[in-house]
Order: sequence, then C-alpha cells, then structure tokens
Amino acid sequence: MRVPGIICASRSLLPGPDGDRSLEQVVNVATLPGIVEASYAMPDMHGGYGFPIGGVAATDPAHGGVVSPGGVGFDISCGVRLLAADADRGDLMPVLGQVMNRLAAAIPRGAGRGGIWRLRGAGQLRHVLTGGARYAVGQGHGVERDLLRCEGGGAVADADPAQVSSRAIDRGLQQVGSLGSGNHFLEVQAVDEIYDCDAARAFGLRPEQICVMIHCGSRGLGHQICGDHVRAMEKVMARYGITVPDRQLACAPVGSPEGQGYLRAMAAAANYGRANRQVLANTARRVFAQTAGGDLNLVYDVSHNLAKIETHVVNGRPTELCVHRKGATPALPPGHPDLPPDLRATGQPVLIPGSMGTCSYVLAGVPGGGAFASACHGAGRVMSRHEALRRVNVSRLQRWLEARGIAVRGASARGLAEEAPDAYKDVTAVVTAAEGADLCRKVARLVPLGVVKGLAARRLRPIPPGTATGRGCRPAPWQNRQRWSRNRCLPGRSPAGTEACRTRPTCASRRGPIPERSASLRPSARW
Amino acid sequence: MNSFAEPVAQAGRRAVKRHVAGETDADLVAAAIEEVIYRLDTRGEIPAAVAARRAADGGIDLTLHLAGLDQVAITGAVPKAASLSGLRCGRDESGRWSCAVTVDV
Repeated sequence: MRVPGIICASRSLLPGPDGDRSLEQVVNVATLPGIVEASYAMPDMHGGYGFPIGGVAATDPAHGGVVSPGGVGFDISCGVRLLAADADRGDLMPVLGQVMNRLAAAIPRGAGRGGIWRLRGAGQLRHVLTGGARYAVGQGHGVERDLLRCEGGGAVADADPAQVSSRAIDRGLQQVGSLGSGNHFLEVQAVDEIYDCDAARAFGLRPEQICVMIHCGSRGLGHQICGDHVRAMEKVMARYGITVPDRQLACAPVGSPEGQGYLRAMAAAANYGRANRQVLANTARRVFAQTAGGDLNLVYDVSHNLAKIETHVVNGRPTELCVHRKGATPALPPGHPDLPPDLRATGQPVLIPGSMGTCSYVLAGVPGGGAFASACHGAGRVMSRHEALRRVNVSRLQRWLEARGIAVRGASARGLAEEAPDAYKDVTAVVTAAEGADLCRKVARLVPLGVVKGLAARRLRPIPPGTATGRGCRPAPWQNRQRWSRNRCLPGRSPAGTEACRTRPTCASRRGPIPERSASLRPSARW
Repeated sequence: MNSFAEPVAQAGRRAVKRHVAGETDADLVAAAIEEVIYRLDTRGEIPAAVAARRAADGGIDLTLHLAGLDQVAITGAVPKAASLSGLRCGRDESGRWSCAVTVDV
C-alpha cells in the first residue's frame, strides 16, 4: 500500500466476516501509482469490480498518477436527478395512481433498445456525446433553467467521440431517454422532513412538496466504453511499469495517450448520461403537466461515478489531482467557485436515493469536506442479487409496500426480491455516518409515494392506484432481522485481517491517528 | 440467461454465427458474453441457445439461436458487461475445472 485505507463508517455498516471483498479492494486501490492521501471508502461501501463501490481515490498526475476506468465503474456518470413539483402531497394523492400509470407507460426501461429520443444517427449521437444535457435542452428536451442546476452546467468538457468505439456508438444510438434495469428507478416522493431550512429554500424544497427522483446512467454506451478502455490499458500497463492486484484495476498514467483517451471517452459517456437523465426528466415533467397540472423544477443533477481533474490541498499545497469517485458523490463545500451562484452559500447538493420503499436524502457539502469533498451515494448493497432471491419473501415484501401505500410499477417478482430494502444497508445509518464523519450535512428527507423500476412487469399482483401515503421510512418486517444481520463487524475477522471497525461514525483522517496494523494481505497495510 | 429472462424454446430460432477472440480461455468466455450483450442492446435479441466451437486462430466460433425480446419475458436485471475482476476459466490445483465470470447489470 502506498497510502492508508480509510473507511468512513460506523461499526454496523462495515462488511461482516462473511461479507464482500470491499475491504480488500480498499487495500488494492491504495497500491495504485501516484495515489495521494488515502484510499477512501464511504459508509455505503460494498464490493465492486477492482475498486469498491463507495470508493474515492485521487492520484497526482505530476507524480506518476494514473487513471483507472475501474475507479469510475461500468456505468459512467450514473447519477441522480431530483425535480421538485409546485404541488404538495395533498394535491397529488387523488391522482397519484394515474400519474404512476402514465409515468410507467412513458418511461422506457428494461432490456434492449428503445429510448424516448430517437436520434437521426451516429452524427447526432456525437452531438449528445459532446453537448450532454446542454445539447438535449437545445433540441427541446428541457428548459434553460435546468442547465443551471446540472453539475458542470449539464456537460463535461473535453469529450471526444473519436475515443468511443463503434460498438459503444451502436449500443448508445437507441437508448437516449431510457431507465435501464437493476437498481435504476424513477420515484415520486414527498418531502417528509427539513433539517436545514436555508439550504432547503435555496435548493427549492419545502415540507410536503412532491418531488421526482431519477437514478440512471449512461446505459450500454458507458459500459462498453469502460470495458474497451480497461482492456486497452491492460495491454499497455507493462510498458509503464505498472502491475495491479486485480485486472479490473487496469490503469495508465493520466498524461499518457491511453489515460487521455479514456478521460475523453469517459467525458463523452458522462454527457450521454446527463442527456439521458435530462430527457427522462422532461418526460416526467410532461406527464405531471398532463395529469397533475403542475410543473417540475430541477433541484440538481449529480453523477456519482466519475473521474475529474480537481484541485485539492495536499500536504499544504493546492495540487491538481485526478479524483476517482465510484459510488461516491461530490460534495463541494460552501463558497466553492464551481457551484452555481444561487447554491454557492449552501454547498453542493448531494442526492442520496434509498433502497426501494425506504426514504431518500438531500445532503449538502460542508466546509473542509474530507475524502476530496466526497460523500456517500446511496444505501449500498449488503446482499448479492442471488442471495436476495433466496432470502426475500416477495409476497410479504409486496404486502409491506402496499401497507405503506407505495405504488410500484414495472417490477417483476424477481426484480422486487433483488431490490428489496434488506438487500441494502439502512440508508439513514449511512447518511448519519457520512454526516458524523464531516463529509456532508442533512438538508431534507424524502419518502416514496410511487416507484417505476427498470424492469419488465410480469407476475406481479397489481397494486390499486391512488392508495399511496408515503410511509416508507420504517424497518422492514417481512423477514427475521436476526437471521439477516450481515453488517456486524467482528474485530480481528475483517477480510484483511485488521480491526477496521470504529464504534462511532468518524473519518479516521479527521478524528485521530490511523492505527498501525500488520495486515496479512499487504505487509505495509496501515489500517 | 435464466437470471434475467425466462427460457425460450430453441426450435425454429434464427441462427447467427459470430467469431470472438481472446488471449486466454477466460477472456474468450468474457468475449462471448459481451457478444450476447451487444446483440441484446443493439438488435433486441437474446439467444435461446448457444453453441461454441474452437476456431483455428484460437478464438471461438459461436452459433447463437436468437429470439426477439418481444418473444421473451424479462424477469430480472439485464446484463450490461462482463467484469475482468475474478474472471477465471480452467483447472485449479486439484485438477477440477471451473469457470467464474461476474456480469454487471
């Protein structure tokens, strides 16, 4: 390890002894050339490919720092967009069923082709890859104000479609404006609690307000770009004298042709992801206008899978770094020049979707935010999809959702099981840990009223429309908690043979020295 | 395939031949999966059955018996990529053959 591994988590959020490989992956990331300060993991950390999900790592290009596509993940620019309606919960309830049915019909999802925006061909796709949400708005998929509330104004600079393979272009041509599947969703929510009134006002949120949250990314195009560039870098690593402990950590110096090629292709995928969410949001806006008679205003759009060149203070000096965030949300502090003027006093909005049926959070960056101004990105899985399928009783889960009045559209029985709340950590515990580690602060809590999942609807008992009440932030009773307790961390039995647990939410770099350990996997391990 | 779609009868399906390359057997497995994912995303087709044959150049020739997505019930998260992390194909120290590939959805 070149730097320590630092886990920002409470004891209960750490992987158990039979858990995933995320702790080992934190160690592996700490071996990357040019990494500075630490290999960080957020409270929602869980096993990924190469990097852990919830991982943050910054490298110094001036000192051999590398960029690794595995540090961004397959779904480049996967992120969250939050819109706020000019209607309150009471206004929407009478028509909620109708709204959900119309959203389910209007939002393409699941397998294969079929985006809302039918592009004219590869030429127009290249405009999407360079212009992102900005190009989408210019083509009628939104309003100018949307761009003011998109990270980076809706587009990432330096995108180069020439670095995107023909297979990636093929996969991206017919998916602009589609949700995908897995944990991607569109959710109708209500603001249940405000923690920071000034920030909530600046974001455009008020109690009882209806919101729409969209979680999706760059679809097949982003996955293809990641795979293409991992393989390309794997072939040239030896030339740069680089070895990595996991093939998916393949990397190249930031300034190398391979490193620059990836960053420019990644930027293109990021723009695709932002255009995708822009088109979906505009469709939701149209549905709301037709069924509920109101407008949806963009609160914010932020990616949680991206690498960016940013300036941070390292050893007392401002240093240009390549910051990888994979399942981690940028959380710029108040006053940061990259924030739009109307949000500069509050800090960057951080959007944290909960698991299906549970609450979501809106957070904000804090002064001196650690982990290169990063925070968590969601609840974080504790169970594989296969394990969830074995353990979740779908009928009981469906009754639990019904009892809370949460209308689910577009989920198969299998999809429900895979996305059951107990397949994830408790999002409230995750957010509490992130806040306790001084990574962010809470602004608002949102509860679900209805969700459109990214799966085909088969074999699912229909839920009567118009029954939703949004009581979604309670423990799930459809299984035995004792039997499912996987988050306990037993000292001395974590995968790296270390005692990485902390009894209270903290970020080691901010609350005291890192304990010295002789990890069995890496002789130089320091956590 | 059963992890995200209900089984489809092979009989009468359109057969398409594809060649995939890779430096190791494990890479060939990943390349074959990537080929299926590519067709799923771009053509809206999934294989009801797949036959693989070693090609003269060390790659494999795939025969995909394809069904349209409109003929298939999608039941789970759709595959998007094959990870190189933990990818393996071959015999372990005890001589037992095994193959492992993790598919991202």
